[in-house]
Amino acid sequence: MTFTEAVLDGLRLVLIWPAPGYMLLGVAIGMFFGAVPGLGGLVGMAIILPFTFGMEPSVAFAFILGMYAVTTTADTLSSVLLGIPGTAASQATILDGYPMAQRGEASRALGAAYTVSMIGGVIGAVFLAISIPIVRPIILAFSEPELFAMAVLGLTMVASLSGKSIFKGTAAACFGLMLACVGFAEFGGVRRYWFEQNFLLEGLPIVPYVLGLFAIPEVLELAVRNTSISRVQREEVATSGIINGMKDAARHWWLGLRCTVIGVYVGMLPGLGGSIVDWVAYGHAAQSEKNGNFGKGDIRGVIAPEAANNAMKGGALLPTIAFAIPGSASMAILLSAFFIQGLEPGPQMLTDKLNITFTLVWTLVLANVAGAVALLLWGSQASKITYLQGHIILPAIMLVVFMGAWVGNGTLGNWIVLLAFGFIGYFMKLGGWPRPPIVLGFVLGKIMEEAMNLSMQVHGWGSFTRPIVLIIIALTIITVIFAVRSQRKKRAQKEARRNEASANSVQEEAMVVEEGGKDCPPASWPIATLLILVFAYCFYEAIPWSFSPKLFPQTVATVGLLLAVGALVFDLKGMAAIKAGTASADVVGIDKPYVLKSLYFLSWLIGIFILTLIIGQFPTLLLFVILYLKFWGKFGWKLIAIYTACAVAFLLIMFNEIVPVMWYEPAHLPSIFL
Amino acid sequence: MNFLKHSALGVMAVAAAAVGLNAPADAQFYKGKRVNIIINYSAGGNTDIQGRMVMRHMKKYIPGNPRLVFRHVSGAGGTVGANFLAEAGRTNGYMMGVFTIPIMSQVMKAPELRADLAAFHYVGAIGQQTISHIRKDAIPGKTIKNWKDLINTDHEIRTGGHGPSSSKDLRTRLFFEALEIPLKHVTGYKSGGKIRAAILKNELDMTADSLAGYFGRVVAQLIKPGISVPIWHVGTPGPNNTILHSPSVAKNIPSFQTVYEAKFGKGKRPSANIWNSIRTIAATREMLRIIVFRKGTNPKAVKIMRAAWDKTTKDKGFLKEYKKVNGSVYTGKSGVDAQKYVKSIVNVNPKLQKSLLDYADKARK
Repeated sequence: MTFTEAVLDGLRLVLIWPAPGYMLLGVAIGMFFGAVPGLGGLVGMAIILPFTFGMEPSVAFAFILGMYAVTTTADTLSSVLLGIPGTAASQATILDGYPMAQRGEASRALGAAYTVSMIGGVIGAVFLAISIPIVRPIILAFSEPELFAMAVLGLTMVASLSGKSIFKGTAAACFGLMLACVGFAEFGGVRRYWFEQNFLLEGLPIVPYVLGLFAIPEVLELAVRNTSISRVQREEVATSGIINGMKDAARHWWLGLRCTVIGVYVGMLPGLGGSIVDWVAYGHAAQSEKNGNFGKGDIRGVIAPEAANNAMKGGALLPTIAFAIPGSASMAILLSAFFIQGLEPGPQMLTDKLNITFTLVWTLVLANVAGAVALLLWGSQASKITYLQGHIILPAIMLVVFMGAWVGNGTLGNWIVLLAFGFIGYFMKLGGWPRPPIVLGFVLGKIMEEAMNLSMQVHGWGSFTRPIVLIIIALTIITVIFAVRSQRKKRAQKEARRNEASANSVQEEAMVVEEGGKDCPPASWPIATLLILVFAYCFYEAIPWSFSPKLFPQTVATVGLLLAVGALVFDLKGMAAIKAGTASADVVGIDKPYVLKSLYFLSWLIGIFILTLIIGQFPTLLLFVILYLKFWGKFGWKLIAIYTACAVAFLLIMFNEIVPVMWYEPAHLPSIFL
Repeated sequence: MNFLKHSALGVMAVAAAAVGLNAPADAQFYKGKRVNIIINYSAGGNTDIQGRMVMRHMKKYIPGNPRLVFRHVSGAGGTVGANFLAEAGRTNGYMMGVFTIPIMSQVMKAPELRADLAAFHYVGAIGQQTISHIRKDAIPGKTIKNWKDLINTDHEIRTGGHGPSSSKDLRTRLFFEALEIPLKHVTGYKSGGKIRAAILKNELDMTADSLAGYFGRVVAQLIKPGISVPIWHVGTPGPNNTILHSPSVAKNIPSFQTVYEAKFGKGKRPSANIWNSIRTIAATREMLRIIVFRKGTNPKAVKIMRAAWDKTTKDKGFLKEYKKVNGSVYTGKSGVDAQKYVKSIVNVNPKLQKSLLDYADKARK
């Protein structure tokens, strides 16, 4: 079979019924799993895999890949509309997507995101098609030392995610690196920072952690201020938002293409993939694009991660098909599907079974187009949610947040993590601490420690003299130099802008506050103090461990401690300046009534946890909906009854039928769900 | 005589009535209910895929056709899930564990394992051998075609594992020490996939995989492309201090005992510590995956599920699919047998336990 024949035969196989039907079914399921925070492609693949037993290969792969292809397209919905990352691959999208929604430009953000997702996904698939025969040397050249170096390069993105204070940004990144050390370090046989909690042996669960950091602070604001997500009225917003977004995607085609390439290459490297690709692309955009307004609703901050996270999927398929090296858990499931179909990844996929390989490529192409078109058609309807009153959408958001945090492994510990990081995230936001570096540090920390440990065992100090490592080290140094220069330039521009401040720009700044954009020392010093205590404790706790498991946490704790002390000193100076009335315009005091009301609402969330222990999870969530609507929203009983009925239907259909979870039910009460 | 005859008939009638009454009672127990199944490794791994496959077939034989809901509680080599079932699991019969048994953690009294594996109620168990494979070019200037080309080398072989106390690490190190082959062991790989990738990149020479992993991944990735060859499997503990060839493994892949005797002579054994440790590890392969209830679970549930498991292991569809997924015939145990067997494994003598612990500690850096 020639190459052309294989391409055409692959297309024919994908178009023969029932393959297109299953692909569309997969796309529909994938959109659902992507849009609901906490689910994601991995859960979806694990659930649908058993249904592919007995299917023809082209049909089975159409079903699985149809689902897999679009989760990172649909995840933009909650990232943009609610500020909650739909999947791990859309964490960076919220940095600019959510501020756009607050400005009433949700549909524009979605239009741009879906367009670049589609193009990124298709290019990723095409890249997969043309690269299979030539990519072997690249994948085989990347080993643990190169992964370690890549992770260090990734850490330099902290500079572009730190907002105003690189000091706080770096300390926050160290906090993330530190959190990555929680759990059982198998290589040293040591349980680290687990506080005798069984669920922490697996490490800090990422979904509740990210939901806590990003979603809870936004929810608190909605509850306390009762504004809509969009700070502007619907009538003031252009009706052709989706079209404008598509035009934005076309205007920034060069950025989209660059990030697509980043996505493909990062996806190709086993061990990196989905968890960092959006951050790398976002960091690249923030560092390379001129006149950036990143973090405040710059459309390029949406285009970059969304182009990359779909393109990543074609890249991730490469090592799986060509060498049977699954770069992620999703790819491990795909490998199982290969085996169930009697196919063996490897050279035969490029020779005898090249047509099957092309069914994968065509499925990715068609599914990406189908998913993006469906979402583009539906996007402007979905964006209407951002104009609703805060009190009316908050209970629904809380159900999604609490259940999203629960889905992973269904322990109450997940809710503790959610609430604890919600509390920390709220004060970080208030105190001008950038939150993205914590997530980046957490994701990279896991990769870095494992890669460092294995590199030293396999290659020793020779790890750092390998050619690709040297190139990456050089790139890291260049990136740091550029980041420092860009920070200085930014500061100078800001200074100049402040001097000729127009009323318009002042209004815009008040509307959307960039991550780490404002200093509020009274809210910041508790975070700095907390970090000092955390770093000191982590260093002390690690003293008795053997060398390997303590090397990484103690190094990070030492650096983090110094940075946190530095941040505290700045905070104390800032507080003194506020007291003396000499503080600059960027340093603000605390809005006490707002903070007290926020803490009061936070106590309601803690109440959800406590009540769950007493009466069980399902009734507690419903009770929260009723009480919130009555006492915070002051709505009538008729609306409350309808809302509650919808909540019951949502919880039961979603989490009892489609993705059944194990509900928490106290032992002293009879079960509702058996 | 008549009395005896009538008594016997009476007993039979009561037994028949009991069975007759029991059958609908059994059907009612799970009717319209859901059974929560804890899997102690992440979604998509061998435990998950095999567990779901097994439960799909077993569901047909559970009276009342309950709904099965899967939940992954992974971490620390499977101990987190086992702890969860033992500490937070329900005893009403509606929560089970489908685990890869973290047996070495219990044998070595690892602190992260709080559950007592012998205290679970066993519904059934699946045995699964591991096959070791090595790069053909692991010894410079020589092409390794099979195990005979390896056993007399004095060249250092590079192997990989997950952690000093993992079964894979202990087994590999013990084998090489017994065979007196120099070894450079690298540990800390998060998954078997990462170890295989390192072999593909020629950073490691050798590792071992379960049959499911071997036929599902290794054959395509390393054997068929001509990079590696299989060398041996652990084997099954036999009588008189022996380790026998497992019926689930092809004849040309010998058990470790065969390899050892080929090098040192028929009937020879390494030190008692090493040999007993290897035999303990071999025993753990006999019930790698287990289906269990928490201690104190309703006996009725245990009885129903054990019966369902026994029927499943005779189901032609299950046996066919098992062979397809694992590349070998099914070997396993009934719930009753598994219950007895696990006790025999975990109750190792303190001297052996200490020796294993010391051995694992030697690898910690």
